[in-house]
Amino acid sequence: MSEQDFTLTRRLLLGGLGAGMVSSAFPFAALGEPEDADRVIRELFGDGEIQEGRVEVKLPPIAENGNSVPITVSVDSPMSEADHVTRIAVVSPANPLAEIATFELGPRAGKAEISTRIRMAGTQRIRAVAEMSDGSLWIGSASTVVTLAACVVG
Amino acid sequence: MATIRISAPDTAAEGEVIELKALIQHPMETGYRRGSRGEEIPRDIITRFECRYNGEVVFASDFHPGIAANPLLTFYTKATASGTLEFEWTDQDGQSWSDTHDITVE
Repeated sequence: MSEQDFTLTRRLLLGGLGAGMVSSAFPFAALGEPEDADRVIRELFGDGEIQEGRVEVKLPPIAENGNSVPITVSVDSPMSEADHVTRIAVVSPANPLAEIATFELGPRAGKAEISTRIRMAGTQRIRAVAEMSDGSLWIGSASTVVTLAACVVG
Repeated sequence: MATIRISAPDTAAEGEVIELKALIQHPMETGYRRGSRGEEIPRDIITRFECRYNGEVVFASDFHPGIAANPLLTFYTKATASGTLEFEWTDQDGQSWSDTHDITVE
């Protein structure tokens, strides 16, 4: 490895650590932009109006390790044949890939709530968008302070 | 063979909303990490999860690298009839793993 390579690696590493500790706005090449999250939401759900509310995102206020952060998304819906949630997408404004997961539900679910564990490349506000059986779109979000980011440290 | 853990009730009342938990052992390698010699570690992720209740899909999910290693899912379904719940994961190369859980509805 040449000296130049070494300098670059060290700079990247220090930059990465700084981004993890200070803020998600650090200009680290692998990190995504909030515009990516907007674009992913539009690709998944089209151009319809997205209303605030009905979707609740639960995240811990602080996560020591961004590699595994528990998340719960619940949607206020009777989950009946006539009125239910069809899709939920979890989107990140800072991860290298904005789309984290999409979930397909139906009246057979009985309850519009899902939990899983996600990776977070730094402190950010995670968004969840729900599509209802009548086609309406709802959004909710929650933020977590990540002290050690995923992707950067491993 | 990946280790799979399923948590689901063995019996339920008809119409009851039951909680299902499904975990599979998998690295969910993002493709963004580098090894000790600086080489890229290739992406290796599960991309699809389906839960079928007597053959009908009641819950499904598309995963991306933002899902943590050893993906754990908690979700709900309405107990409608006695039968089998089947949980299936498929990775990016089409390899799949599945497990079943029998449920009796009274």
